[in-house]
Amino acid sequence: MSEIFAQMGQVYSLLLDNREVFTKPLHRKLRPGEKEAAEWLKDVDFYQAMQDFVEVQGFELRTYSDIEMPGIASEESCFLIVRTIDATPPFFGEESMMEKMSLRQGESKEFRSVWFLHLWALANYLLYTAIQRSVGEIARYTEAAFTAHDLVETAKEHIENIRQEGRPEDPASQKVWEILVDTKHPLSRRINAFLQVMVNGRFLYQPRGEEIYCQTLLGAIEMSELFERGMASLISEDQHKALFREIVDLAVSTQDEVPVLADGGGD
Amino acid sequence: MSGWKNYVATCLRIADLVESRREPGTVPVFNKTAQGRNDALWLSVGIYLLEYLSEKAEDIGADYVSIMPAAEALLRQYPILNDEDIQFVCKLLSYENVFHYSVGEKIIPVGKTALIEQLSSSRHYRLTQTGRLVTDMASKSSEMVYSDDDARKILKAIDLGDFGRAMKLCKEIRKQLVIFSHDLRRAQERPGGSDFLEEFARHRELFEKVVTNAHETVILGLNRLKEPGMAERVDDWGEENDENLTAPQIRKALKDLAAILERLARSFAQVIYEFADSSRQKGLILDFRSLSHALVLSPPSETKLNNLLRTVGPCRNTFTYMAPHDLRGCIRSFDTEKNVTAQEFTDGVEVVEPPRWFADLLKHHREAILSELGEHGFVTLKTGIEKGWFRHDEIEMLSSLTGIYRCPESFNLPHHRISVGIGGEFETQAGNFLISGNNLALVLLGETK
Repeated sequence: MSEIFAQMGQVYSLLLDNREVFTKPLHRKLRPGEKEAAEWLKDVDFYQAMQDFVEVQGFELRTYSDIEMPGIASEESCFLIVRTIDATPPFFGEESMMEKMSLRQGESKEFRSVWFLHLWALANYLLYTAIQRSVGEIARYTEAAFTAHDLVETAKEHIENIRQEGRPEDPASQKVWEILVDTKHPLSRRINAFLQVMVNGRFLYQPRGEEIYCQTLLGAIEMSELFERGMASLISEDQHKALFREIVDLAVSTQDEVPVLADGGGD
Repeated sequence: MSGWKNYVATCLRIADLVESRREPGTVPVFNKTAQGRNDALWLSVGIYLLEYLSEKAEDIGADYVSIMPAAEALLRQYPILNDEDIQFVCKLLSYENVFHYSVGEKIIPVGKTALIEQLSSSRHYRLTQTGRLVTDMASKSSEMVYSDDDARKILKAIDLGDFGRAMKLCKEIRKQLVIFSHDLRRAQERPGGSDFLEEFARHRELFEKVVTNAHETVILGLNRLKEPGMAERVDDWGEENDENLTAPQIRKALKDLAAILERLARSFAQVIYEFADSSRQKGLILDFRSLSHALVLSPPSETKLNNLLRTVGPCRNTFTYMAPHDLRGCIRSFDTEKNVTAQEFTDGVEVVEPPRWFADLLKHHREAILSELGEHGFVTLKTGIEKGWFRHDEIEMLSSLTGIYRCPESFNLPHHRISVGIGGEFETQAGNFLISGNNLALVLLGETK
């Protein structure tokens, strides 16, 4: 009995840290314990037990074979834990990524958050918009890649555009404008920090010895899920601004507690 | 792969037609003078690169791969070349030249002629659809619609005792099915469908028939292999041909094929349903640059910003999760004979020296900490703070302390490790003890192997 606990513990630990387990990864070496974890996950009963185990913690365990999804080595498969729509895992937080976004002491969380969100949007421009890919096109994740230089150039262009538009009148917008336009640090350092966060979070990976950053299957799936959360029907080509608002509203609604009915409030 | 060269030669003849400056009705003299190198250097390099990508496509499907191993091999093979020469060939092979032909009065572009495509500005390439078609045609195993014919060849190969050929055919059919399955998936996910999907919907019956027939043939092949004496025949073939091939290996390959065909058949119905369901809205291609612009014009409030970060960011567990550590404790408590297994969990985990301030605290409270560890198996955050063993005014520092450390010298346990982890908002069992809430626990791990 203790053996299966030990196996589940090992698989869980690997999945929590890496969000993925491959029977044979294409672009990296096997991680310690990954081969055994993949073998155990191939067992239907074990897989089911793990699925039940992670489900109550806000994850969905998924598996893909090379037949179902490109980017997986021939006759191999992978296992991923994807965050579910209605429950963020309680021990998953943004603290770690925000910490890594910091380049200097004293940078406020708001400052780092603004940078993160902008770079997130611009990275997605390169992963989706620039290659004419919708967020629902998961299988095209193997085509989605960019270099740090690409992102630096895209960010420079974006900042230059908003600089030329001038300081907004709205105080909140003004603050964001100042963070982006007036920041003195080298953009490339901020972008490297952002890329590191994305790599650590397993949304991007860097093939060994290469300068490019490629989207992971996990990154593509979570992006697709995010936009599947009832938003797809709300988005039209001229609603990009509303899109952001929808993301915000969505984020808020998923965090809100379900209202409790007062006694006798039922029929 | 020799079919390659013939095919490329054929393409060159077509190119000659396209490039011909001959005026209609003039004297029938072909006067093109080829200025190419006599040693066919560029063609050899080009074919080598195409073959490399084709072989990679067999291994990993339609994915981009680094061209560097092939480039390095070419540089070794042809010392007169440099890396820019290789890049020149890659550029030419990925150049999209559009040919035209005429239908009545219309001039129609023949379309895409690039054989390989590049990923961003990297040195990663893959075969284009045209490139794949070329390689497939060369190996005479082009499209999925011929899978049933190929499956029948497997049966024939088994009957003829050509088991190596049967295995090779299994792999070729598998490759066709993988490519088809990926194309189908991409087409399904594509907003507004695609030509591929329309083609599929138009010939649905044909595809279904191919899959059904191929499946039936594969099952027949499996049954053939079960016939008495067949395993021995395969073994004999292996010995004669000096190949390590057994009947179970062929059966495994056939079972794999059967499973893939069954899965494809099941997915067809879903594809057709989605294709026919016009109400189903596909995601549009979003302009994320406009979104970043909107982030300036409509910045979210602080609360919303945090929620947004948690939703879109690659959040991960921000601290070491207790479970694996506790499981070690569990195992030790359940069954001391499992001690070795418990220690295996720490394999691959970096063991480091504890920070000096932490080592000093441990040293200062050595007896009390060892006593607590001996009694409970771990030290909680609450206990550590109450007894002054941890710096309670630097909680964040404690958070960053999670990890596995060598036992400080003061403990006089040179082969032991100290594991520090934080439990989140969950409860977990460690031995006979329940750790709950935001507890930091310090656990002493047993002797290393």
